[in-house]
Parts: sequence; structure tokens; C-alpha cells
Amino acid sequence: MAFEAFFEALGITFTLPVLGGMLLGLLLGLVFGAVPGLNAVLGIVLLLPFVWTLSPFVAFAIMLSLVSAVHTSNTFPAFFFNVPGSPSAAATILDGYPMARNGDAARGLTAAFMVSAVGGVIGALVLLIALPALQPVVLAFAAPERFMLVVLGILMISFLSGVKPVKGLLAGALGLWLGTVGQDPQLGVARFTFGSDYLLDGLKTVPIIMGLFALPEVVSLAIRGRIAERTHVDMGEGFRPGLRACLLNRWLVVRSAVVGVVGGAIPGIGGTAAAFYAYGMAVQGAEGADRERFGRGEIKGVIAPESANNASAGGELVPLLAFGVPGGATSAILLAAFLILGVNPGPEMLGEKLSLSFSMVIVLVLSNLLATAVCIAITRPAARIAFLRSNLLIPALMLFVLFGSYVAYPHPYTLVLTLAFGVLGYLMMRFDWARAPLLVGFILGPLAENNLAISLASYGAAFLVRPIPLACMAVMALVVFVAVRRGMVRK
Amino acid sequence: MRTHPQIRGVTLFVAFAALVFTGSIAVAADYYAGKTITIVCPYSTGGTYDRMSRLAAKFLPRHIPGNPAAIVHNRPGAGGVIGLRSVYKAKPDGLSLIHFTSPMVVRSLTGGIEDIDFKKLTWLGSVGGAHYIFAIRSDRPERSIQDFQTTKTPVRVGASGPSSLLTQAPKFLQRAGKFNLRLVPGYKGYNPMALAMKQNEVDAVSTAGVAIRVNTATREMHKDGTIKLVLSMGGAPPPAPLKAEVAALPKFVDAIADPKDRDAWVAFSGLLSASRPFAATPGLPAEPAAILKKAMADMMADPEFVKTATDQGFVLNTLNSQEAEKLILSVFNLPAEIQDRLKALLK
Repeated sequence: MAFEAFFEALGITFTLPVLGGMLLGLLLGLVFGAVPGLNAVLGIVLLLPFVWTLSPFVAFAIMLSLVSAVHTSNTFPAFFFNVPGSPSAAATILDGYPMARNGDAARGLTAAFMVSAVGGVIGALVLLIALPALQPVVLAFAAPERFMLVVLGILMISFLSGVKPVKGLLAGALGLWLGTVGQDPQLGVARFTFGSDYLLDGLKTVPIIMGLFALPEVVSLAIRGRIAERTHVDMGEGFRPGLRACLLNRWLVVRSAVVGVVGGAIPGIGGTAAAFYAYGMAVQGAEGADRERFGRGEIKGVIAPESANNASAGGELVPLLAFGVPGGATSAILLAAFLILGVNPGPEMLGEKLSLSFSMVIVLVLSNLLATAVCIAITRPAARIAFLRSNLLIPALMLFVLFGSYVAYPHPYTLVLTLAFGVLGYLMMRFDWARAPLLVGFILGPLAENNLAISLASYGAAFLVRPIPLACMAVMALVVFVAVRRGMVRK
Repeated sequence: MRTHPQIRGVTLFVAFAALVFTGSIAVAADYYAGKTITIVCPYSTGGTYDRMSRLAAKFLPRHIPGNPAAIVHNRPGAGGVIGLRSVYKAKPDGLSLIHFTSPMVVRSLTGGIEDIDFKKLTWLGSVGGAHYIFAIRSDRPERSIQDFQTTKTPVRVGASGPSSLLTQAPKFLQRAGKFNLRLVPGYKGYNPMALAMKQNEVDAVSTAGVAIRVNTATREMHKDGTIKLVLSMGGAPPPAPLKAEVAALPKFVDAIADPKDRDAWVAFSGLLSASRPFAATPGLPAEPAAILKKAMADMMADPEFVKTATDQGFVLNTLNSQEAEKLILSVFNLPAEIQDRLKALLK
């Protein structure tokens, strides 16, 4: 039955309407990924009104290829403007932007795109092969497990993304605090909102990313004159060194893809957090001089998050297809699309609708490969952006930053928020404070709080002695021990 | 040739009526021609209110002269208050509509949205209601009302934010029904709550019957006997596949001993019958108000709309603008002591 369904899916996927839909989704995704502020969620929301009359095969071809292309092309602004094209590329900027500044953009981008394809394909294949096997994994991660995983993520990034762990921890703590602005999720009590309706809904991720990472670069760009520190336009070979870097780090690619799939599959964790986990693991696995290069243009710091964030797209579909529970924001919209199209996610996706499941996997594989091919083809011309003069780049960058923030949350205060975080980001950069822990604390903080509250209400303090939380605590102890030991050795 | 004065009169009347009619059509068509209606969904994308808003964005303009465009704007936050406030304060031009859950009106009593007077909204109709059900994992021993009132181990019930029906309904069970429950709040809607029930993180949920049918996890758990429906809480008629089963269940109202608590619950559960209303900005001029009310009634009678909504799992118990307004605002006509009891139960 499975083979019949697979060949049926192949037959349907390679028809003109489905391929045409995939191409349309791909083009839209490339744009939505490359323009900061636009993202996969917005893209699919805009598509929803148009999918009513389409067959599920065509509709999902458009939407899934859009998601895959966004996860791939969002690397461009991460490299050139220190702005993630969408939040899932936030971890990529940590080493992507320094690579561009070192005049190494072509190699970095090529490697990023290749591992994006590999990660995306691994994510899709895992979805194909392990959908039934991953169901117990999804079920095993209840609130206590999610809480400890989130705390582990914040701790890892706080310790590993900067030179000084104490500064990282403080930045992470600041992020956690910023995440508490808005309504208390349990009691509905307003916190730190100062009577403002705007703040009642919490601080917004996109303006914070834009302010924290992009605006300081505008200032720095104005001082330096161009992104790349070298003035000579010598980008070297892009394709071969990029390919070589992927092959040399093949296990890192696979490991990060697995992190991406699992992160995507656990509802509430998602691609952005998974990319940071993968980055943290890459840093943790490096030794000596290798480790010191992270944050200064280390290619492994690009490979790990890029592989993870593309793989997460396949992972996010696991709880959606298995239980009808979205793994993240993108799959929440996909769930709406399922219901609009009259398709019930769940066991029937492995039964009577198996051909649709297979078609989704095929679309994910093809669109990841196609998006990568397109991005690699335009990498070399795109990499020249790094050598453009600042008087050309600054107006474009400011437009992207302010437009991107405003589109994400259309309110005048959004612009104020972006500028305020721009000042904070500049000060952090100036005084050598890592900004990633702040962002991770902010993104994961509400998740941690909510899951802690649910854990305490449901299990009491006993939630701490469940196997996965215990394992997470052991890893946390190890991370702290290694960081302290390294600090002592450095002194 | 002389015409009979009566015939002349009738002819004149018909001509005048035709003029008025075509004129009013022209005015109506002029009013919305080339304009865009924004339907605010005060909840996040992907949920049932979002989907119904999108259905309305597709079907409502077909019934409005002038064929305006319609878009959905999701403005989630603060349990729907942010979106509601945006429509409440919008220009009264008939271009800002909202689709929200009617039990939100109770927040006028419990506090937090004193700046919104629900009586001033322009009510357009309600596309449906919900029949609330209490469902529990089968590995818990409780089945009857008495079991829930006397059990020694509290039943863990999933809950959401404070103004969500998913929280308000179990509060009634706990406070008016004296059920021994432990609320586990924090779930962002029904989907994660359903997964939590599958993970044995919560023992029970109190939700709309349609949610149990539409959500894959609970539909399957109900089918394979992992969960059981144990109590009918009331509201609109249940979805057809659950009708027989729900009819045989004990009624929550019978579990409430205190007459004032019972009255409070009856008033609250009445809101469930019109839990999917559409409304427009207060102070809407008569013309766009009449156009929108008629368009909403026509949309709800449109066979294509009914089929599409039903295919998506919605149970349509439609109410016109007057019926919906009367039912929803009845909360404000309750005696003061019942209003106070409602406040106390939902605090």
C-alpha cells in the first residue's frame, strides 16, 4: 500500500499544476526570506485566501515550497546586514555577518545554502521514514521536559556565545525579563506595561531583532564605509570551498539537522530555538583555537544553524500530521489550511491520505534543492553587496529595518521600540556584550515560564525527577563546569 | 383616454416605490463600491475564529451591494481585548467588523475592559454556538456528578488564559458545581490542551463538542475510548455525531445546588448559544448598519457558505442581528445579585 501511495504521490507531484504551484511558492519564499521583516508565517497567511479552490496537493506544494525557500534565502540579509531575513536565521548572523566582513561571504553563503538543502532533505526524509516512530518522541516531551529543554537552551547560549560567560548570563537574564512584559499567561495580570495597550501584548520579536542587531550595524557601517573590511573585491571561489567546508563538517550537518527535526517536532520549540541549540552544540564541540573563532566568522557557526533551521520544517510537520497539533507558528497556519481544504491531520495521513503525506515530503525535498540551486546561482553577484559603499547601503538598510519592524506589527510604537533596542544593541556591541543570549532569553523566556507554571500545577515539584528533566540538568551542570574550567584555564 | 384615479394612484405608488428601491440600491452600491472591509479577528491565525473570519471575508462581500473587498486582520492579545478595542474605537463607517467570542461580554462585569460598552456595538448576527462538554481520561475512575464532587484526588483540568471559555467553563464546574478540580492554566488554546490530555498531563478538558470532533487527538481518543464524555454543560445543540451520546449524559445544571449559582450558570450558558457573533463599530449610521445586517443574514442563508462551513467542521446555529443582540446583552439585564454571583464565580 505504501509503495502504491508513493508512486501515486510521485505521479501527482510531477503534474503541471503541482510543479507550477511549487515554483510559485518558491519564488514567493525567496522574496519573503530575503526581505527582513517578511517571513514564512506572513507568506502563508497571505496565501490562505487563495487556496480554497485548489486541490490539497497544489495548495501544500505552494505553501511548503514557500516555507523551504524562506528558510534558505533568509541567510542573505543575515550575512550582509546582520539582520535575519526571518527569525529562524537569527543564529546565522553570529558568524555569517563576520564572514561577510572578512570578505568571505561567497564561501560562507555557498556552505550555508548547501547545508540548508541537506538539512531540509534530512528533515523531509525523517518525516517520511520516522513519522510513526517520532510520535512517542512528541508525546514524551510534556511541559516539564519542554521547560528543562528551554532552560538548557538559554544556559548554553548564555555561556557559549560570548567570551565572558557572566556577561552572557546577564544578557540572557535581561532577555528573560523582557519576555515577561505583557500579560501574565496564567492570571492575565498586566506586567511592566505602564498602562499601555501596546505593551499588553508583550514586546515584539521582529522589532527587537531589527533594533538589537541591524541598527548598530548601520552606525558601524557609517564609520567603516562598507560591510567588508577589505576594500579589494576578491571573494575567492565560492562553490568549491563552500562544498569542501560542508564535506569536512558532514557530521555537524547531520547532527544539526537531527537537532532541527527534534526541535521542530516538539511543539513550542520550533526552528529558531533549534538553530540556536545547533549553534551551541557546535561551539561546545569545538576545542582550542577553533572555539575562539566562533563569533568571528567561523564557518561551523553558519553550517550548524542553517542545517537545523531547514530541517525543522520537516520536524514541525510531525506533530501536525500525527496529532493535528502545530509544532510552531508556521504549522499553526498550515493546520488552518488543512481544515480549510477539508483534510484532517492525524492517522488518516498515514492511511487513506498517505499519498498526500508522500507528496508533501517530495515537495519539501524538491523545493529545498531548487531553493538552494537558485540561491547558489545568485550568491556571487549577491556577495558584492558586501563591497558596496555605505552611502548606498545605509538608506536601503534603514528602509528594511523600519519597514520590516512596522510590517510585523503596524503601530507607531513599533518604530520607537526598534530605535530603543537599536541604542541598547549599540551599547552592547560597544562594550563587548553578546546580544544572542538576550534574544534567546526573550524568545524562550515566555515558553519557560508557561511550561514551568503548567508543570507545577500538573505534577508539583515531582516534575524535576522525571528522566528527561534529570538528563537536562546533568547537561546543564556539564555546560557550567566546562565554561568555568575554560575560564580558569584562560586566566 | 382617462385612467381610473385608483389605477393612477397605484401606478404612481409603484413608480415611486421603484424609484426609492432602485435609488436605495444605487446608494447602497455607491456606499461600499471600491471600499475594503476589515474583519478583525482578535485571536491568532489558525484557530476556529480565524477560519470563520476568513470564511466571512470570502462570502460576506458577495451579499453587499457594490462588491467591496474584505480582508482579515488578526489582532490577538489580552484574550481578544486588543482586537475588540481597535474596532470599538474605529471610525463608524461600516468598514471595521469583528468576530469574537460572546462570553467576553462577561468581562464588563468582572472588570478589565470598563472602556468598552457592549451595548453600543452594532450587532450583525451570530453564525453559531457551542455545546460545552466535560470530557475525562478513561483511566480516571470518576464518571458521575457525585464522583467529581466527592473524589479525594483532584481532577487536573486544562485551562487557558483568564478570559478564555476554556478557563471560565471549568471555573463554573469547580465553584458552582463543587467539583474537586485542579485547574492547570497556561495552554494557548484547545490544540495544546488536547495534546496534554494525550500525554496524561491533564485528566480532563471542558470544551465545545465541535472541538472534540475537529481536533485529531481528541477525536481519536474519543473513538478508541481513551477519553469519555461525562457531562453535558449546555449551550447550542451539539454536533450531529455527538448528539445521541450527549443526550444521555447528566446535565451540569443539575449538579448546582445553590439557586443563585444555577441562575448565573444559566445566564452564562445562554451566551454559548450565540458564541460566534459578528459586530461593527458603535454609532454606525443606519444605512451601512442595515446593509451589513442584511448581508450577514444573507450570507448565513447562502447554501455555499453553509456547505463550506459545515465541511470545515463548524456547527451553524445562526441568529440574526436582533436575536444575537438580545441573547448576548441579556447578561446586563440580570438582577444585580446574579451579576455579582457571576463575578464571584469567574473571578
